Amino acid sequence: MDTSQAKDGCGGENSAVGIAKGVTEYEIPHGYGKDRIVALVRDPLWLFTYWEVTDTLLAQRESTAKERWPQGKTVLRIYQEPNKQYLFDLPVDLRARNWYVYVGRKDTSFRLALGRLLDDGTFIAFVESNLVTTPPGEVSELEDEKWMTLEELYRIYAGLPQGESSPLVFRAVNKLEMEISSPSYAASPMAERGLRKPFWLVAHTELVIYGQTEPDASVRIQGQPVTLQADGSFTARYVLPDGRLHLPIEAVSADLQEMISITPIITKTTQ
Amino acid sequence: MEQGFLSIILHTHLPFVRHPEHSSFLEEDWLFEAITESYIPLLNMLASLKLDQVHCRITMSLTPPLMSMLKDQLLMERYLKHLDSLIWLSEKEVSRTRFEPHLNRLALMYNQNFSATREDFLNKYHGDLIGAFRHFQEAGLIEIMASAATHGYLPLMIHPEALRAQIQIGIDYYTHVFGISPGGFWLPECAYTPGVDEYLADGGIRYFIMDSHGILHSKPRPRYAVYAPVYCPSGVAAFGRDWESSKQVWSAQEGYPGDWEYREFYRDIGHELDYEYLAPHLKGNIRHHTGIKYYRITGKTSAKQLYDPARAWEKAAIHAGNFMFNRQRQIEYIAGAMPDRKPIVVAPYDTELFGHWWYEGPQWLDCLIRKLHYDQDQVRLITPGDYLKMYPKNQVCTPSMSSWGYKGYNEVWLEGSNDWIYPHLHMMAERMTQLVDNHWSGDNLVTEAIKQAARELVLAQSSDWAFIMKTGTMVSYAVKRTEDHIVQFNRLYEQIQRGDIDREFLRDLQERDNIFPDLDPWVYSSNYRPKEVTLSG
Repeated sequence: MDTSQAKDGCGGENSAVGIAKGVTEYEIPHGYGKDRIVALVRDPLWLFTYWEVTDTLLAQRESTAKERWPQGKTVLRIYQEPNKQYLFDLPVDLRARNWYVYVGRKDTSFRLALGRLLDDGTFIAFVESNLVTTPPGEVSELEDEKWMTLEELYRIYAGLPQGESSPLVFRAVNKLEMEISSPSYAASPMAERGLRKPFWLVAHTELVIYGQTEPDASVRIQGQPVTLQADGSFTARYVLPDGRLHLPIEAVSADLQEMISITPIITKTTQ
Repeated sequence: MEQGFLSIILHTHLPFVRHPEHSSFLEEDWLFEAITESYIPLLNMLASLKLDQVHCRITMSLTPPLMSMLKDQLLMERYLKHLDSLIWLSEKEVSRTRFEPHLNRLALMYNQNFSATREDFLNKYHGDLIGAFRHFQEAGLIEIMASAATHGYLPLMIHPEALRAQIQIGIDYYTHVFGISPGGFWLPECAYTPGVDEYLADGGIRYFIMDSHGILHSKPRPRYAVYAPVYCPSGVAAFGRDWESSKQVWSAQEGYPGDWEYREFYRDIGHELDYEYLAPHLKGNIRHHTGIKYYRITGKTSAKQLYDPARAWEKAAIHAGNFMFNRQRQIEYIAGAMPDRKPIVVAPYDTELFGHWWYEGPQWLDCLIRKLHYDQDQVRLITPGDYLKMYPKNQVCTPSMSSWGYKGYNEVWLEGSNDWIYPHLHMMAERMTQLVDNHWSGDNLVTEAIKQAARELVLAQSSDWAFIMKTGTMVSYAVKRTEDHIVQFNRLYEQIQRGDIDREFLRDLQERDNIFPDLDPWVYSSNYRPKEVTLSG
């Protein structure tokens, strides 16, 4: 898709895309009044999470903690699944509303909880997330007995010479960069080949010839017909090369009885 | 006799951009440029291959938003206006460049191309490009895959109903347009996560395409690396992208499109000529690309030299030869290591790369297909569907979550610039199911409102918006589109909940966001059960 056309601007007569009538007073909601935390996988090592906790829920949880509440802190608790095994807590600001979490474990399932960690170690959960699983991020060690791996194919894939031992082959495959991501074509260095210089100037010279005659006459410039406007005026513009240019302008009356010729001679040099 | 197969896959997609509320709209040019520079050249290539009886088996995806736009009367009328303006501009250019012969030849080339495009669009394809693609599918030159409803990014959907709907709406739309069930399904951004294949299987899909590491990191380890498909536990086949053949074309540094003889994309007269001269051809009173470009890449310099089409096309032929030679050597090696079957090398690209980004791309492709036909018999073009018929028995593996985006996972669509969209998209998905579960009734107005809510949801889910936010150009448009669909959805939701639907508001939305006229929101119901699908072949 072509996103290169205009810098960060919309088309049409208006710079904003109008939405249907009467909608303009609406804005996207800040929250939905629903207590929730959602986890998403970014890559084999990182998760993303966002949450919304309503005041009602907070007040209710606070009342269970009573006077111990102020000494506590808000944390994201990271569990490994299955069996909800505690991994670590990450102090967060409730108002941040989202967080990128480094879990550092490939091929592992996680569940997150947002809650209050009290100074006596009690954890009061506000909300718990969906289950997510990070991808393996490497070639599996699991062999399929019926479909034994043809290691030679992995060697070819990784572009290794013959005779490499198998751990090396799989390591090389794992290390292959995934740099040929396709959709980023528009944002690739191709885009930077253009005019990106600290200071620059481009100047071109064009020649504009304009004039007027009887509206029903015909006009030629260097033999080529020119279109006349309803009032008999005409305009022609040319890229002007360096050198000397003869430009005979001829007008012939509609009855072909009269002809007038004007010949500008233009010399252009660039220094 | 061939030693192996090459499968070229052209993914054809644009986001749904249609703004009847404006008399012209710059972002609609994405479609118009793609038609002129990529789709019509591709169709013309297929026509000439067919005429010359050259063996051609290309796999294409055509996404529902793109098909909807190509079938939309308003947009096709606007396309003709757009072409007329370009023809007029190129005529002005022919006159303006009269005293510079090289520039003048280029101006003439554009003038002739635009006029020929107009002629082809109207008289060869009768304004019906989807019909033309269908024709070439029926003639056996291409195999068209289905795709998700609006190019939604599937691994970041947490509601099964929403995930299923993106897939099933896409399959239903394909069936409606082509009159047959799709065999293949293009996963938007090649983005897969285990379980997605279950919904594909429910929809009768036989195969999809993944990035290399999605296959290579499968469990258990795949026997043939990426050179044969694996079956997901659901029975749908997954084909892995070949890294080497992708890089030769895609890579901005090493790839063919960066050759110095090729046309420079970023030097367009729309950014260079006198503003007043261009003004009648500009949309929204700002400078933008016109498609008329006079320079070649030249080198790592801003002093660009004029483009020479003959030299560039010669280069495209050389590159086609080089690509074929590399595939022959590659397949020779691979076949030598594969005793029990012939390998398949899968090479997916964006269709708009050919012609739009890489001007000479269509020549390259045409040349490649002809060379494969005439000059050798080691490598044969095939579709994944053909390969599965030949080799129906495959290893069962669970592929890895992956995408073809930068770094190979979800980060392009989930990072600082665009992560704010997910709380909304997820809430909308949840609310969509509530609407169908709680309000689905015989009432006509409610039904219409629920359908429109589903349209707003799928339009908000297009991966394009998150991608644009990440890449940093045209960001405000992507943000505005996302916000509009969020607001419009939620407003419909509230109205349906309250039993107080604003008819005028609904009608406005139906007129503008008119994708999927036959959308069946039942797919969002928590009681939805897939139809029984009989797999053929």
